[in-house]
Amino acid sequence: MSEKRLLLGDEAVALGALHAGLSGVYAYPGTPSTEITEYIQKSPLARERGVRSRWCTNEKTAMEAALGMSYAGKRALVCMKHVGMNVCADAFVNAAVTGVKGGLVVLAADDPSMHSSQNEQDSRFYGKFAMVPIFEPSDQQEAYEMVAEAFALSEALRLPVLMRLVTRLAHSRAAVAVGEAQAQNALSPDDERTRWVLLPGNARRQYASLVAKQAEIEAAAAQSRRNACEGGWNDKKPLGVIAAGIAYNYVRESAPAGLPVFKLSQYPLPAHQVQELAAHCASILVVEDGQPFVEEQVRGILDAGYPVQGRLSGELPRTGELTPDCVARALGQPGGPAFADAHNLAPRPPQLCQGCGHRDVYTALNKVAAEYPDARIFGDIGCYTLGALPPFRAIDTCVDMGASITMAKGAADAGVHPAIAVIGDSTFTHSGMTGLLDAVNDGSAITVIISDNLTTAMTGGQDSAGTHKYEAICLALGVEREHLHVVVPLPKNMEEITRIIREEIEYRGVSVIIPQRECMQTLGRKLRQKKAKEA
Amino acid sequence: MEALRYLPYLAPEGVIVTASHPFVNIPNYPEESALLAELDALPHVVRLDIDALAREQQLPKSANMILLGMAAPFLGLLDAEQLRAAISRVFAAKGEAVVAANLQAFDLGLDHSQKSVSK
Repeated sequence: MSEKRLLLGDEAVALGALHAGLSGVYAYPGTPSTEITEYIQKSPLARERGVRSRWCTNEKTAMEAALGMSYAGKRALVCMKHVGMNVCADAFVNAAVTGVKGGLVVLAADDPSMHSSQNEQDSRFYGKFAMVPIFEPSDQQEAYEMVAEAFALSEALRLPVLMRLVTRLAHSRAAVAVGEAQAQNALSPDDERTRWVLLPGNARRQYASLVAKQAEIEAAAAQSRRNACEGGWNDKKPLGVIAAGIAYNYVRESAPAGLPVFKLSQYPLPAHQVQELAAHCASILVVEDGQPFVEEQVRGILDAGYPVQGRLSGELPRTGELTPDCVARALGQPGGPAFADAHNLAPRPPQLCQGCGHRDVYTALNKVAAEYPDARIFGDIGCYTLGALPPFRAIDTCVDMGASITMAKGAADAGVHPAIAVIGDSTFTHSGMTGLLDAVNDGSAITVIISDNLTTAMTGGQDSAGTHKYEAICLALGVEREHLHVVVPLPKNMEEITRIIREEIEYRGVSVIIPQRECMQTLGRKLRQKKAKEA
Repeated sequence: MEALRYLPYLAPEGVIVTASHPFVNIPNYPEESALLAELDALPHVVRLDIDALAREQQLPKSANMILLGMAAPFLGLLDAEQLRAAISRVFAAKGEAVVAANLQAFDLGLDHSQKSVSK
């Protein structure tokens, strides 16, 4: 371990994976995980080694492709934000039943406080649900080192391993001592059909084997050097702390001397250490970022009367990310802000860039929707979600990836008219195509607007899976030619666009309008790169 | 306004170093004089219209570098010389003129802070 690099938590994971002999990273952009795949895409080492790293259409295709690479004997990494786990859950859970061959690490980057998400679900529950090991590094150095450990454990147990980050770890930088890269695995496809073909007969046997493996997984966590007992565990102390992942840093920042701490970075939660801590302390405080995953289990391990404090009992806030301040308060440390909140403040919400094509789309849409008081506009996830805010206030719903089209269909089924869906190009290929097929098959009266800016913009301008293919896709799904339009969202085309929207609202079948104009940010970046190359 | 937004994070002896010209891109931006009054009532504030100064000195893209210079005396982690060396290194690929412009902007800011502190 000689060289030191300044790395984001995400970059530490990426480099750790490359050094662990990664052969492929499969991912869909999602804050705060995006930088992992970007690092690998830009890495000379990855290029040299032929590491696959192209963006996938969604997290499910990513998980399955990774499973395929693992089946073939090579190491694969899957990356996503927390809600991405919902998308790939089918493949993830069943990968634990088939088991893996080449190491398979699933990296979920959670977003407590939902800075850029619809919720703050805790990915650790998925690990428990699938009955696989969970790694939760406490800092960037651990993030780097634990990736190799995760791959090794994955191959030893023949199970996927879930590694969990949170925003503050993924998106902050620290000095990381890095090592050498090990070789990739050789190609060696599995041939145990009875493992991989999950007909009930096989699945029952595989499932029993998964259940039987739990003892081994628990032992690995109990003996892991990533879980550590610190402070005095001999005498009787008033308070002991269990600190999971990044919470360990917050605890160390304000922990009084001699505080017994159980640093937790590998799961399943080792019951023995929890009981030992409880034996030496009059009460336990569980400090974890996200939901009360550990806290609930601790209550299940200890007797009903034993005082367990944490997010459920109120010592720590139930919602929102942890901060050093709230952890210090929970530890009874004095302090807090020296200055109260200022008075002369106003919220400054994000806005669509000046000149963005989505602006023109909403301007047109709002103009027409004003003529239809019963109109409902079902939105989706991307930069265009900002159409919900002033000055546009254009959308009525935004729930999950692809929900715009399918909710519009369901609402139209119920009688809502006009039912309009607004979806971005990346979101459309992610999970809008299947909804559109439903609508076509059922002849639903919906108007779908695919606002195509030729990129996955909100996450930083990554390649979009279906660029230049949307017309063909819609036609192939059965959208009628006369009810499929491509327009250019610019102020000068306002008359044409509003006319088309009006006509298609009046048509009581599936209509698709594709306003198409490149994102200002990616266009600018391309022009700058071109200029730099020419210089 | 953003300086005020992060006020609860400021240590008791901490210094606010801020641009003073408001960036108004919302309809309900606070009234400028009230904002400046609240800012000036705080114990340690160094402010400057960095955009105007950058324009005046014909350093149009270097306003933020003026701000870095203003902050330099208070950072405690790196001194002005280390920051100048870093500026030279970071902008080296863009050519001597760009490095010089950024160093000039940095020095303008540093100068302003040093004069404010000695008042």
